Amino acid sequence: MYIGIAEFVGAYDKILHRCSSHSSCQLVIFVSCLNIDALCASKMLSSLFKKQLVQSQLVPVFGYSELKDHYQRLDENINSVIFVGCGGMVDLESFLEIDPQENTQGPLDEIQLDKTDVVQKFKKEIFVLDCHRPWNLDNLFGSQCITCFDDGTVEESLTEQKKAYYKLIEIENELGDELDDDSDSEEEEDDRETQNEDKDDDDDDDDDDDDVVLGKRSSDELNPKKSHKQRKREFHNLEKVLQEYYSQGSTVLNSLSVQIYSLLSGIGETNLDYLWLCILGVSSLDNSFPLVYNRLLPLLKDEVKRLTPSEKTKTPDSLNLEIRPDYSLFLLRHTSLYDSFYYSNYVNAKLSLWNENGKKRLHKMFARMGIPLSVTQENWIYMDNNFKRDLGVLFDKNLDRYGLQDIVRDGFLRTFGYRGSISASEFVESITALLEVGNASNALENLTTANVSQKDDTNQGDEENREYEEAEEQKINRILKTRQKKWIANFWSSWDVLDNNMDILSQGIKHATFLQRSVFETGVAILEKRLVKHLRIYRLCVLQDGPDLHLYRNPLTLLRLGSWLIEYYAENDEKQLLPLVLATLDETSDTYLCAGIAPRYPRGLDILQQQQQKTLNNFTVAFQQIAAETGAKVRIDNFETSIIEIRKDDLQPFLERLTLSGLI
Amino acid sequence: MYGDLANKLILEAKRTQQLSQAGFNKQQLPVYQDELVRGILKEVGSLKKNVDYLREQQLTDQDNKVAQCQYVVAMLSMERNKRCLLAYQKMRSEMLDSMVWDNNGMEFSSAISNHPNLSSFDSSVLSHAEQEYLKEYAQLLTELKSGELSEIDLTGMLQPPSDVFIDVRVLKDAGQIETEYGVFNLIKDSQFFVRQSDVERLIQQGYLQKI
Amino acid sequence: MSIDIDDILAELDRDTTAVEQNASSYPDQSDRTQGNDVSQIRPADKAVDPVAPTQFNKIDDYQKLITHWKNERMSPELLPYPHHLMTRTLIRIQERIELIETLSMGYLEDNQELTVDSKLPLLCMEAELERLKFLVRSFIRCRLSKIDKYSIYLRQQSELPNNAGLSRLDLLMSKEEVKYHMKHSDILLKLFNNAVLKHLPEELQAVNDTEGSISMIDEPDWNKTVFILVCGGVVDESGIDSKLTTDDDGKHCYSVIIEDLNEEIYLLIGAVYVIRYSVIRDLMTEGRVVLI
Repeated sequence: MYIGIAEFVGAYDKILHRCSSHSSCQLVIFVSCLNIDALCASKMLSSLFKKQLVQSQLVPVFGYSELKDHYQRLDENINSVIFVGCGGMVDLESFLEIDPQENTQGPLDEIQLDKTDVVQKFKKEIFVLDCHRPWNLDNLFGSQCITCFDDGTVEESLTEQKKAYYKLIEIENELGDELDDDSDSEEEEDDRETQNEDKDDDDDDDDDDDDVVLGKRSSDELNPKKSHKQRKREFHNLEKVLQEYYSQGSTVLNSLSVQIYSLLSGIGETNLDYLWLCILGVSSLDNSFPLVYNRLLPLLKDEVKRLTPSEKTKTPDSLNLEIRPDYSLFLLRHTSLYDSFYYSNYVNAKLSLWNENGKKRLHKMFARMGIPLSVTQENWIYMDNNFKRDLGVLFDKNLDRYGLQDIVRDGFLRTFGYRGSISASEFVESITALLEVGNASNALENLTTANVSQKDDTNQGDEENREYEEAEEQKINRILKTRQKKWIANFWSSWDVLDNNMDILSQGIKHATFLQRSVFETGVAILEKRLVKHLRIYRLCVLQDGPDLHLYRNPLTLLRLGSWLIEYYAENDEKQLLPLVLATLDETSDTYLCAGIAPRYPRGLDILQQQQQKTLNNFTVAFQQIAAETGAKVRIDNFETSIIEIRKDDLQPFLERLTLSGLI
Repeated sequence: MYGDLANKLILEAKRTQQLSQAGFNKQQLPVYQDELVRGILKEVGSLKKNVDYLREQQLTDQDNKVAQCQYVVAMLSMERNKRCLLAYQKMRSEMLDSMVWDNNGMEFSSAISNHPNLSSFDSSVLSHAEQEYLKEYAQLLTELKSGELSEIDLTGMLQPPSDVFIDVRVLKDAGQIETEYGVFNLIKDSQFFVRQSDVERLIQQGYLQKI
Repeated sequence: MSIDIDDILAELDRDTTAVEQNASSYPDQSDRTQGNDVSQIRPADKAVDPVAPTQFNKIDDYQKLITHWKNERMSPELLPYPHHLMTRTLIRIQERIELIETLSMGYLEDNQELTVDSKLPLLCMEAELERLKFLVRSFIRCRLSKIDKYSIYLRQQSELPNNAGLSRLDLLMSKEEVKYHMKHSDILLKLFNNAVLKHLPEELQAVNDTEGSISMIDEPDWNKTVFILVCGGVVDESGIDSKLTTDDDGKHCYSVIIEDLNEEIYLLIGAVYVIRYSVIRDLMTEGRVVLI
């Protein structure tokens, strides 16, 4: 079932009551581990439960198979499970193999069954917080023990689907098995009837008698089945409606953090810390779903104004939140001005910085602004104060020329006493880098060498034993699993940063700089070598070598590169916006990590126009279907189902099929 | 030189002590220096013979300063050797004691596989007498714990309890673990918010890490 | 202490156990402080069961336990075991554990109205219990480590012919500790014997050898410096503090003599000093001074 925003508080109270046992842990929260919005939302949720002294367990998961695995190993004490950032698009009841009968608790008397408003007690109740759309309708309408936290999508846009769903169930119940048995005979009847109808149309007069005769005959034979046929047709139509609903492509339409925050306002527990977490979660969506960000921005600004205390004295303990102009530049306050322009996705897209011309334009722009290049290349902290002060004005005057006027927007700045301030977007950059790489100071070197040497070690030790015994598949699975475990460990570094741990935060920023630099260089290489092929309906880029290839084994980094590329194309596409398929080779496991990225509107485009033609990611459905058709060895495990792992040899045929399928 | 071997033994003891203080190998004793010990005992034996001989000599020749000196030196060396041997043994026994306390008085042999920290406790590093001592001490501790004072869990935390509920992170995959208070499903890299007293034992065993 | 009349008294009062006022080291302060009706009654008049927790003020007991704990941790020697106090405390702990169990069982059944507020009393009780358990645990562990450290010395002391009543092991330590001490020294001795001493010549086979250049028995360091707080307030039966004097300024203090310097110093009430243990040992035993 689903609940709207007004009912969040009720559900929360229900969870509290269910899980407040004094002696055992009854609540488990599964969190999607490569999703910052989910990270912030789960942090808010767990703080909330901590305050209520509810014992809970938090498990970050990477993909659906892991989720299923963990779920099935849960013990009996657990009676509430919350999925954050995952589970919304999959029929959970069948995926997790939940038997509704077994799950029901307590005797169902006949008396109870008569009452329509009986509240069934379940042994395990599942609560789903997911902003991926489309919702899986079975979760919404079909299951009693699953509660989906909906942000109003169902009420607004899914009325038709809802009707269709319920109707389908009705018809199914009525017709039951007959649907399949009579299909053949009914088809024949259908054909004959259509033939008859055609005849009827053609020969109106002559066949009147025939009509009558035929009609009589047909009515005699088909009368009892007429309703069946009608129902069946209805059934098929409704199925089609649902199919269309599912195949429209996926997207993210809201932020989990905002949902949790509305829960908090319902309870009355909002404060600046929660608001900051909420802002972080929403800002993380800015990169790939700017629409959502723009829509939620005014709400957040209002909240900040509401919650900011009136005295603004700066003390060592104060944690202020302010609205300040923020720049779409890359980590402006932590690198130099030049670097932040150079590595920013947005500027690159507008000015084509990847080639010489673009660089020259950048230099010219700085010249116009009157900032010498040496100054721009200094670290921001040491930059001349005069320039810093005038930056706002200079930007106003000069950026228009280059189409960069949207660099300056309103953003949120958090001050941590005397320790410094950081803007929300920079914080998000740091967390993303930590999720990608982890927080050991030598994390990056470890990535390059460890993966290789680790492989060698295990290979040497195990090769004698394993080489001939282990099937290829098992080996690949093993490699991927160890990598995933590392990412889950990274989740906790990012979690710790959210506790305002400055050291890890600065580590994260360093890593972010490095990652963005590598992405830029890879991007430049791609564009120079023209590795992106234009295949009419989408663009394809396959990376098979390069110095930084190992970085792209992480889906987040791959998406970073993808968004850099697609933003570039968003600005530079004249006619049509095309989606992008990006694949990188992982030599250790001989697979390609393949991501399908939806097309994006250029920034600054009229919002109304964007909302009219939403860009949805069709790859989620397309990948699954093609994989099923071609029988390629594909792992679709990630919660973002537009990212898959496919065997090296199967990539080519897969892509060909994809191009020809017309699903995009 | 008399006492050289004893010196070596003492150095070994000192090194072990320093290592354990520095936190490495807190659970590992180095191998029992059987040869050194035997060497020292032999030395003492030969010293004893010297002493006996010198004593006899003294009976006859009272004023032999050299002999007296030798006698004194021999006696002192013997004593020193004895002290060194006993010091070495005592240090090892103290380390064994602390290991038993840390491992909740459990027998090592059963605890080997379960304890994540104690990956490979090799009882061959102990001499035979030490092994016996270990067993007996573990038993003594178990008896002590199960007496009147069983409620207060003598091997529990020696730091004052802070919060009632704490955040702990799971370090190892360990499936479902039953404690007195409930079942914990230990999945690596998940985080629990639970009562501190419930998980104290697990933290000590190294399965969980307090945040 | 020539005649022990405890058993005679025990016969007189059949209901309760004999009062061991003389045997315990510190005079139980709560027996003499005001505000506690039961404890003011003289031992001979009405039998006070020293182990019945209800007859002694919980808070005072707790304070005493903390004092014992601090003293034990700071003192270089093994202090006498407060038998009655510990028994009372352990009984209380047991009762509290049972109480908490029944309460939480009750919660399990009726889990409709469970909120933070309703759980709070239970949580507070649990937290307090944990603290008490920690206190007892730390206390006992500290004592056990001292027992281990000075085991030969203790044994030697207890075998001295002129024991001043304090050195009898079973007064110094609880039953369990005595058992532990005996057993541990036995197995340790066995270890030493088997490993080393057996193989040595006869004259060197003793473990408690004091003849050589250095004594093998570790004595507590009587000259260890300790921090003390002079609290005073210990009164005799007649109601006055016999050791209390006044110094030149007319302030109350205790007078002690430091032998090495041959000096007499005044310890003001309520002040903190850093001083050698041997100087204030008597005062501490009497409870006039606490280690911090």
